[in-house]
Amino acid sequence: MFNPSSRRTIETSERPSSACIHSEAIANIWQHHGNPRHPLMQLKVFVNGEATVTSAATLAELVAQCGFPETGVATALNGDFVPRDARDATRLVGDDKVEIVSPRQGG
Amino acid sequence: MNSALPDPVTPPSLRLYGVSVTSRLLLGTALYPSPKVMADSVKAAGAGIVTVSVRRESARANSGRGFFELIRSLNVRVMPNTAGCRTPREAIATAHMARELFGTDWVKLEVIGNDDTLQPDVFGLLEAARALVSDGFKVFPYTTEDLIAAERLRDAGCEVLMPWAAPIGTGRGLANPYALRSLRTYFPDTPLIIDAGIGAPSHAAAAMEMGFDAVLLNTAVARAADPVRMAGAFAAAIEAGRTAFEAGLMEMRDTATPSTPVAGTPFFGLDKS
Repeated sequence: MFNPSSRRTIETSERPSSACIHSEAIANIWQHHGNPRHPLMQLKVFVNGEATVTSAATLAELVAQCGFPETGVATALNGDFVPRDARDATRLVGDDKVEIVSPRQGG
Repeated sequence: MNSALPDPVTPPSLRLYGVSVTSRLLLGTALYPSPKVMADSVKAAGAGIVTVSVRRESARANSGRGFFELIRSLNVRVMPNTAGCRTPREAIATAHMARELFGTDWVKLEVIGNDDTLQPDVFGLLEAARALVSDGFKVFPYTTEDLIAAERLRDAGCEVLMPWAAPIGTGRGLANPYALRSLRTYFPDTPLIIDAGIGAPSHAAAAMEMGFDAVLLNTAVARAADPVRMAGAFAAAIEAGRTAFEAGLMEMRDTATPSTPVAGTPFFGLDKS
């Protein structure tokens, strides 16, 4: 049976240094148990189309946790642009679709 | 010195949203064999404006930073595109992300309606253009040769239009010269940039001879055997085409007319015995 306290132990001991984990499987398990928001708990979101488990509460934290520089990337949440200075105030919820982009070659 | 001769006319330079542009060749930055070849091609083209894009970044690769630093070192104006966007919503969000990243309100607006032709969805394009103009963008819409779409885009606040020559990456040249000529005639004072479908310098020269203000291309240079030399060839062709337009081309005729004077032709009339 699912045990929230044991799950939290596993999280802290086995979580890689980057809190931004790409894992559809893990994300699905946690999502199934109706993960309530809690600072220690994880959230499944989609970063650039990839299921990602994060403890970030805001878009700014997610950008930092995933290892992106604060400048040099631009963000969108669920299809809408989020300016750099609004990332701090932008709270994440489950299944949010986050786009993180940077300059690239174009025609 | 004959004082009756007019002063040499300095052709007016191209102005795009109030910005004076010296080179009439706008170059894309994609598909080159290497970043160095891209940079050398931009220089060889003498391009003052290059197109760029935004793409999903990976924290591991962090590929955006190096590219942007290279572009900055070229000292050119950048025009971010919304390539690959299929809806106004995607294009609007992409334009905003690009504006923040590149620090410019210029945007090459693409809303693509079809996978095979990469044809602009002019309805979505218009919707996105209206929204972006009201958000303060200087919109350069990638559109078709359709006159009414062009008129609506102008009404929406697009001061520059970018009709295609042929579908992106085909290199087919001016697929519909009649319609493009009509567009030029219909909008004599709107800067019109031929964007996409150019394959050879002769295509670009033809567009410039028609009176188009500039040409935007990418694949024809990037995919040439020697992109740097091809960039130079395009620059020369575009300059030649523009000069020819300013010089005024002769009227085309259906029947021959001799260029050598007829009067005084030797043996004239001798065979009429």
